[in-house]
Amino acid sequence: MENNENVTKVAPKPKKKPEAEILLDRQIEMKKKTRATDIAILSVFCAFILFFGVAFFVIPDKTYSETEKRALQQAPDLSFSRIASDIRRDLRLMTMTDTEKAEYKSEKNWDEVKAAVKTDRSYKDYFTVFADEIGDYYADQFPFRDQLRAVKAAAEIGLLKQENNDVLFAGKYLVKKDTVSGVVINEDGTVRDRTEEDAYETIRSNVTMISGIEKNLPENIDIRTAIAGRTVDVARSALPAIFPYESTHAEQYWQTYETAASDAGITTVGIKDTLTDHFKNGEYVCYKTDHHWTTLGAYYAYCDIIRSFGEEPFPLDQFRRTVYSDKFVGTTYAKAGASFGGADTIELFRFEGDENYTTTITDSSGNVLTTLKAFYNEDVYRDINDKYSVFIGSDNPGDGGNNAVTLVTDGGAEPRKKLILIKDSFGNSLVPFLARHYDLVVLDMRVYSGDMTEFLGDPQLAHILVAYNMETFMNDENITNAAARIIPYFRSLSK
Amino acid sequence: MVFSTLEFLFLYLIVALGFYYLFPRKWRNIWLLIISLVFYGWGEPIYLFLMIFTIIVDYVCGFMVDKYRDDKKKAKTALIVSVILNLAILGFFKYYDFIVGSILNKIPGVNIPLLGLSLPIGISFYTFQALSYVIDVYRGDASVQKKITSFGAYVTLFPQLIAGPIVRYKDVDDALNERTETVDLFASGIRTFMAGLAKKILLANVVGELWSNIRAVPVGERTVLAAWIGIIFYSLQLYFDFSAYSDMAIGLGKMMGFRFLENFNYPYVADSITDFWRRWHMSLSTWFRDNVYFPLGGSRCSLFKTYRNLFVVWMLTGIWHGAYWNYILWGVFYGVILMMEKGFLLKWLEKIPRFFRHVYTLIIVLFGWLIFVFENTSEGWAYVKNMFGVGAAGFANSADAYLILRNLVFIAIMIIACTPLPKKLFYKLYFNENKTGKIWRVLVPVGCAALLVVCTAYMVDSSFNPFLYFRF
Repeated sequence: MENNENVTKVAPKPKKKPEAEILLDRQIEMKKKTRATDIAILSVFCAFILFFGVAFFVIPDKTYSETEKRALQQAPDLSFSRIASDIRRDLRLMTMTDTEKAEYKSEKNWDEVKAAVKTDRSYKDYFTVFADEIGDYYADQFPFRDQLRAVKAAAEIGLLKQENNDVLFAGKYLVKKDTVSGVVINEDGTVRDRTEEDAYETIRSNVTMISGIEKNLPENIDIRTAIAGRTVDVARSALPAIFPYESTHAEQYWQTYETAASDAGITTVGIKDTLTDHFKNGEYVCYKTDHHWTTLGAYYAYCDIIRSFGEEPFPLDQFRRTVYSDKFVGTTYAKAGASFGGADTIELFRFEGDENYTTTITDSSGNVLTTLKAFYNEDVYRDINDKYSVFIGSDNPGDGGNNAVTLVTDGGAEPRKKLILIKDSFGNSLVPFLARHYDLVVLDMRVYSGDMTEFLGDPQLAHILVAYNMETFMNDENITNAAARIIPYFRSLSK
Repeated sequence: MVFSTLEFLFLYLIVALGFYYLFPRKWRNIWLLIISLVFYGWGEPIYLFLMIFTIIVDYVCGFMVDKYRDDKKKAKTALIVSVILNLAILGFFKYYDFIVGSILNKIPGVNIPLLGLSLPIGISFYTFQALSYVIDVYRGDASVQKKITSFGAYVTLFPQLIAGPIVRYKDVDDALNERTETVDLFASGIRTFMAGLAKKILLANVVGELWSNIRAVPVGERTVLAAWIGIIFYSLQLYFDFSAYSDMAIGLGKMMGFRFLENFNYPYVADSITDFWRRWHMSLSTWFRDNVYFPLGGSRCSLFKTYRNLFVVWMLTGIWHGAYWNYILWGVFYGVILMMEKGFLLKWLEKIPRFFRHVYTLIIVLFGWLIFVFENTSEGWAYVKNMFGVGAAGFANSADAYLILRNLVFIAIMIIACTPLPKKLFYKLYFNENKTGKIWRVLVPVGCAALLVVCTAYMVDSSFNPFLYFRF
């Protein structure tokens, strides 16, 4: 080391004056001229961070975002007792059996499960949770969040990116590209996002479940599926020309569904292609800003379904179409933050005598939550964002139209044939149409946890219809719940 | 903590800068130390003890070196103690599992358990920085720092604590004891910081997400074109991410009266690899040059030794980046290329047009990043094969076309952002003596506000905000 000072001196050094220094010299020269600008920059920067920094604390926190339709992160609990309870939870998890874990999964939300199943945590994770939650808290409760999200959407559009947050701007329509959601917990306890392979698997297992139900049904009851297309399927003709449709794996999903159903011998109603064709003809069958079908779209689906039962649907002119709201802005808008198509219109298809119908919404044990004349809860949902829940929505806006049990009768003296509708939210707007033919038992298996005996034992029961949207059908395995209740019931009868 | 987050900008920074300027001068270094420790302990408080240990060790060693200035032997002992302790800590946390798992345990019969410790954030950066103090004092390049709080502030200085630039003590020696914060330096700091913030949020994160999508495609479904685009995107992400971090650090430094040296000088316009490494992560190259290459004799010795020195430095540069084989390979790759350039390539390159020299450089750099990015060598190997058509899903498909078309404007912006053009243009207008300059100087604060709004918007509405240099 002794000789290194020598070396340092003779070592070649860049002779040219670095650009940065030249600039710095010029900067000093210009100092006087730029002083006003410097003060302006300083003021702008400080004012900006101070304004938002203070506004963040002053503006009260929200629990729920109407525009994004999701719960917002609340101020994190930054206490030692929180760490202690996290540690206790993990110790509990480590000693849990698989069935206990599955139960834990069903009672907690996914994010919590994601955080909780990781049993190989180090001390550090208990602190990173704070940092993560503070980050989420700031992002979720940030002042003018909605407006800032619109700025980002505008910037993405301005850069001609065609999409924002994985939602495509397809002309007037907003189209969710990728509909696979949820996570998978590996055997070693690690968590990964579900892939399209998992979605194929879920589609197949759902079909298997339905086929299992069918095999156990008595002859006077049939079961069929009507799977609705997503916007990416229905609005295919509106997608940008450069958009690679095949990258969405849409064809594989439908192929998987159709192959599985035909292998299992399940009766399917091909409502997807019907709506796609109507869309191509320029009809307004799916919302521009929401993932649901419009009431017109539901009507076309109803026609197909009712024909598959061997009956004739009521023609369109036998409904009186009224506008419930023309200010509906839905879920895809919530993600995209901008749209070119304006707000959507929700129509109600009224018909003569529908005010005599009664819709009774109950929980799994039969406690009545809400009773509606006809099928619409017009007052509760008119002025909030979730307007689609006007269809069989309960009085509690948080529950919307997805409740455990909904019973629909026509109020007549004669009991009619019964249909059990196992559905996701797409089924909600089918209800008014189907109710014109059958008394309905509408079950949402994502919420329902009863035993079904009373419905299945009804001598009038003729049909079971599984009406899902492909997005739910590829992600949600709760049809298993239906199978687990229906199959044993009919098995016990045949014994 | 990371700069490109809302809680940094709208909470931490307000508190840090606010009190910094409220406090009298003599308290400012103490405040810097406290607030920097908060920054470091955010989400990972336990390694604060390690940090404080490092500060004490190097403070004491620096003190001893200075005290025994006339007794070379004792001074040298203090230096060696500091070097060994620092490198031992770094080695233990960063390389223990690698040495045991990838080398020792490969020997039949050996089975030493791994520790699986998480790497203290920024340990490679602050260890080198702390070391440079003792070395600078030993060499007489800097005077000893009597106040442990000021020395602590130097080691923990939050702007460059976790991802550089690696500030040599002699460069901030004076500023640490006495610095003047001025309006124009502050404003210049804001400009630098904003440039970095925009680069990180609007470019690095966005292109990074595109790259991670391509990387996630299963091997058999990726096309040749996608593989090439992918690694180009990664190269852009890495540059924007890392240089943005340095820009923000330099900017924040200026806001508090420090002037750090530049860390990047448009590396992607380099016309040879030698040139590239004078432009990329300059503070690291300088550190290795001053503290390894020159002490070994540099290039002023026999040809064999010069090449050996180059090789050693590049091997170490590789290892510095991470405890995986790919980083060592990456270092050796550059070592070999640089030896070749020194030997004969540079002479050849001088004869060909600049454009081809540039293409040559970019291709080498691209392959460098290819080695760099895949810690899992089998994944990397499959990816490289994809790039040359082996196991790929054809040359190109409609998804590639869509990817390119919808990002055309964005890609154009990124390419321009890699060149010095925007900065040159900015200064040309900003320091213009006539009317254009006047208008421009009015527009700059407005543009600054607009950029702040857009950056905040992207921070509010995106979940993709990785931090590439966290493990170094």
